[in-house]
Amino acid sequence: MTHRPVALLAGLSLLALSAGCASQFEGPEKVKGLRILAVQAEPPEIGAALDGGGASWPAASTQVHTLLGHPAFAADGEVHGLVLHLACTTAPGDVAGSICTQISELSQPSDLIGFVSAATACSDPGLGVSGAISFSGLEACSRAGCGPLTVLLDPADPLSGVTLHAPSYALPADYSLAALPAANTQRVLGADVVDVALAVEASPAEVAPAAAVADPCSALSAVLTSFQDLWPSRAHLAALKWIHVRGPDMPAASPPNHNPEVSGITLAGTPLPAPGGAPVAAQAGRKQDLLPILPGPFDSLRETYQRFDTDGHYLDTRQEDWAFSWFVTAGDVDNAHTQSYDQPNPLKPASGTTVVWLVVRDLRGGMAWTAGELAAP
Amino acid sequence: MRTSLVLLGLLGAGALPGHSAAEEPAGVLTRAPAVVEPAEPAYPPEAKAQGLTGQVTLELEISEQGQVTAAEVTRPAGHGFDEAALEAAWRLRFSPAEIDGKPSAVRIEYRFSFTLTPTPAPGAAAAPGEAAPPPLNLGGRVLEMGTRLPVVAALVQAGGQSAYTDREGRFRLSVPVGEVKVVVSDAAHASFEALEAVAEGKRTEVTYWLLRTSSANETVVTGKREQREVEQQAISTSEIVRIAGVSGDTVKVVQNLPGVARSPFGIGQLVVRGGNPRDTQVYVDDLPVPAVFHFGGLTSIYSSELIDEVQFEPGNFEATSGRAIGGRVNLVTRDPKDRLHLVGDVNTYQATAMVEGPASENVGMAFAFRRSYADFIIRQELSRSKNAPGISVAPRYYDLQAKVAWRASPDDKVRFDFFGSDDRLAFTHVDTGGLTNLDELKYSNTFYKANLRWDHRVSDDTRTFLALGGGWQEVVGQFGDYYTETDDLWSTTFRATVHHRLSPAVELVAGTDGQWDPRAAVSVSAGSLDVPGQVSSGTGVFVSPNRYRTAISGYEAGAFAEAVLEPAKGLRIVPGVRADAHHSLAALSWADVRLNAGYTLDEATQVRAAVGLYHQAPPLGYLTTEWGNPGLGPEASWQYSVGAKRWFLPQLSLDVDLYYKRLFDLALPTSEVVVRDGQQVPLHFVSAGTGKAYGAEFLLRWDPGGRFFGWIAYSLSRSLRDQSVSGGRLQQEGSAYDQPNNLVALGTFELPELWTGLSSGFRLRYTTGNPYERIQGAVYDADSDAYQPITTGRYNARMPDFLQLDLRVDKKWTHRLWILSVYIEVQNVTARKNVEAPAYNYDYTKRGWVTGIPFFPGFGVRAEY
Repeated sequence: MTHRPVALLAGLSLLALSAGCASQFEGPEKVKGLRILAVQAEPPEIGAALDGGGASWPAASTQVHTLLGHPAFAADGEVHGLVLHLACTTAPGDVAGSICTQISELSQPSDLIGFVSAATACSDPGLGVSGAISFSGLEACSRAGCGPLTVLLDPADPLSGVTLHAPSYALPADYSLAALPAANTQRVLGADVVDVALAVEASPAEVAPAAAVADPCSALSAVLTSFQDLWPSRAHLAALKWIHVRGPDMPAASPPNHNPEVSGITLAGTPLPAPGGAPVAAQAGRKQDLLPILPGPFDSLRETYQRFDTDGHYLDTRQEDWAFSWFVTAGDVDNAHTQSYDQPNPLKPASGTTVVWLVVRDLRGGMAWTAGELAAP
Repeated sequence: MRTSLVLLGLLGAGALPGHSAAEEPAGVLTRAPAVVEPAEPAYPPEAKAQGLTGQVTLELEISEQGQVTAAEVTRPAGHGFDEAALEAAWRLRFSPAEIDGKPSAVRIEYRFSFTLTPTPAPGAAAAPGEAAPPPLNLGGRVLEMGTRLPVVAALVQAGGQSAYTDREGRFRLSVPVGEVKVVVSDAAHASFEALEAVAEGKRTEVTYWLLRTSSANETVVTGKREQREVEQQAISTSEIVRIAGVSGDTVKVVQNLPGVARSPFGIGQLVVRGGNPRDTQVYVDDLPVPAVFHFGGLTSIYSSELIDEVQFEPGNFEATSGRAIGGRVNLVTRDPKDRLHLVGDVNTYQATAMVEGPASENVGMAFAFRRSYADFIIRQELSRSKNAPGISVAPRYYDLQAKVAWRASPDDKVRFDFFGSDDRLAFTHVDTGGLTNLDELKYSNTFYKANLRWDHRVSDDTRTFLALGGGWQEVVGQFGDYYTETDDLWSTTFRATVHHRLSPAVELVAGTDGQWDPRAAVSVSAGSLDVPGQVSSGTGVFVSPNRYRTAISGYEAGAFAEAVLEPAKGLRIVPGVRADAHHSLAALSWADVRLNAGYTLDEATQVRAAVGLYHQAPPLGYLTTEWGNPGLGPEASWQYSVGAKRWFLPQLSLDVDLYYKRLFDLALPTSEVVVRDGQQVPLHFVSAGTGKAYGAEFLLRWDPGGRFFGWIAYSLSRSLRDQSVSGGRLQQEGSAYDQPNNLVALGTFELPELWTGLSSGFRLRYTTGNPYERIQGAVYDADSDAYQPITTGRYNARMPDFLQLDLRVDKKWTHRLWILSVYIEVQNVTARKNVEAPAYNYDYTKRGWVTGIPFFPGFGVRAEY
């Protein structure tokens, strides 16, 4: 029974030994191709209708948004990426995981589309199915952000556009964690629904029905098929977002989580306009500080919450710590991440137009973002 | 004309191929034999007439009483010298050698030198038949420079008279009055000459200091256990201290032996015969220790100054050890010396001080302390770095050892050992390059252990050994919010054995060993273990960490019995059985059977074979409900090996071993869930893992005792597991350690021609690159802003081969009372970028490498009194 703290030692050893002798790669802050930079659920925490009610009880559904990055967004306002959302709802009490997080499936994630019933996708988009995978919606993304995907029912008729379901998720009506035995830790800790975001570099026209279809359901079916067909030949990637389902026994002292807020970015004190506007002029090659703009004092924005261990026992009460992730289409930022709202992040702009994205995370599932644009001669 | 002689080295700790067991006790040499009755060979007349000189080296077997029982010329000189030397050898008489404190038969190398010196002046010697013998008017001692040890059997010549020094280095001569030239010669030391003024009616007392020459190494216990039926390599500390690339570290030397894979980054993991590091048990004086290395691999926790030898058995160890399914490493510490001995050693990483000596005639004491000073260097370096983390405690370690040995009677030896180790570091605000930094990075591992050993000879046929120990360990670790651990453990250890010889052909060994932990308070907070084959949220640990707190009272204990049978000359068969019980978070028990056999074909060749069943309990973490499965059973292996050893020259031997190891009931990650306390929980592990390891090992070794020692070790091995699982592991295991080719060549040369006291060593290592899984894709975790690799658990690629050359140069200045040594050691002299691990960019689309140590020089200074 000799005790050897192997895991800790291994971590320490690797941390120490790998310092300074690993291959150097470009950091994640540089957007050089199609990238998913964030996936937001608004609100980030939902609650089953059967498990609670009242003003403090979260809604049973949430809207899902994607922040897609692409270097072409610095040049034009066209759509350069489409995002398809699927969701896996594990049955209450189930701890075995789901197909959405199964490594064997994620090696070919577009195959997950094949598990979705086209009929259900059309009839109940965004409605979760307990113990199964469901269709959540589709997005088309440009530098203005991701929005609903509109396709033509008839390619020959420009007025036949139909907007497909924007990503959302709602718990099944009969979903309840309160029905679990009293000792089940999910009653306190809650559960997670996994949203799978599949992004492919394509325009709406490329997934739209090639021939006229009769109705939106047929259009959706055609889009799903085209999406799968395009996947292997185009730049693509998959992202996972865990949507938290509140446990019915979670104390009211730990209110449902909300997404953090961020309202903009400053470069050397000057707010950056949203991409597509008149970019702020910057000096190429000269470092200038980027900083987030928050809509209010940080202490009033960050939330207080209680932590519980995996056995459902109270651990401590904490205030959120926000983390800031920075992305640029050109130039160099010193840090891919900053850990404080007042920590400047120096940017050395490159010549031309640069889009800057800032994603704020509360480290418990909530996130928000903003974007700005600058130009250097 | 003169002849000189010297005891060159003990060739085996009471071991000779073909000897009976009565003459082959296992154990540690505690007293070397010394000449008590020198014998001078007759100078062959023809050789003398022709002015020929020569040197004859012999191997002598010395009985427990100090008599020469066998003599053989190993390096002849011809011209009648060999016969003369052989004749004289039979007349030599020695003080008995002692192994484990008991008189024992040994084999030594002995040398006679035949040289011609000018005939003493006529009349210088007393004429025979004179009425009164001349007075012994010149006397004194001959001591060795640096060690102050007496030089035994040195030839002292003066005024036409000659005498040999006794076991205390003393001599007496009767020489003419006046100025007398004195010549002291000894094959192991440089000749010494002095002019002495001998006055009428007075006795002249002198002390002469001889410098040990490079051609005669210190008496070295190579510790070959030829009587063993399994492959066991024992390395003396005198070998270790000058091996290039290991900085004198005793345990790291084991990593240069056959059967041991090179561990990543050169850290202290012992990957033996394709097993997991946890499969090999490490002991200090046969009692398990909580840690072997400071910080998991920097240097071992026991000062090399007090280690006598490192015993290493890569597999098929006998039933006297258990609870491990891999190999066995035992650090055998030594008794304090019977003279005052001070050592100060300062090198690039650490400083060591050691003092030892006799407290009384039968009591010896030793104390050693070592501390690293990397903390001073790191603190200075980080203070100059812009984005460096804050430092609460810079990384540092210390260890200490104290021991008192009491020879209570000729049949009783009692020893008390105390040793401890303390590793500590604490950083704040460590930039991980990720979404969150580590507010605190803390690690400390402190333990102290005390052992009391009693070795008792009940009779000529019966010996008993009892060891009782106790210790305390505290582990504190924090890795930001990801991982915290606080452990407070009290433990006791025990071991008792009885050896009884029933008849010349049968010896029985029985005993018990174990550990009892009356209180082990463990508190761990960490993320949940990933479900195998599933991707988990990277932020889970921040919201709901897994927390484990318990106070365990547990034990591990075993009982064993084996018989050492010698049904025929040269044949030894050792059947053994042991039963063990483990009681902590799980109650486990098992029984093992083992059979070892050895046969001596001739004086130079021995063959061996072994088969055995081995079990061990899974590590504690594997038995928790939080990260493991309390229902796990013991892990097990069947081990088979055959081997042979052959001496081609007295110092040159070759070991060849083939082995096959079948592993079963290994803890294997599973995605299964079970219902426990009314709710579904992950099972984490099942005892269903299987695998195998097999290979061939070669060791060509030139033993110390001359101007060179070294070895070439080559291992051809495979380590395969029948299942591959992605994720869900607590440790790296199994096929990750498959390293088919492993070659180590090392050697140390003494170079007195260039500079007295100069020696130089090298180590060349080549290994096949370790296997790894080439990541084919990744999925973006939007919550933690990080990509998670898509893995299968199958190792489908290998890193580039590893090749490294290390060099070392030692220089020793020997003064009368003390010795000063300096060394320079350069690891990776070619600055080759050896790959230690794969590295990936943020989304796993590009792969690079993490490379190991660069060109890395180090130096040290050592002073010894």
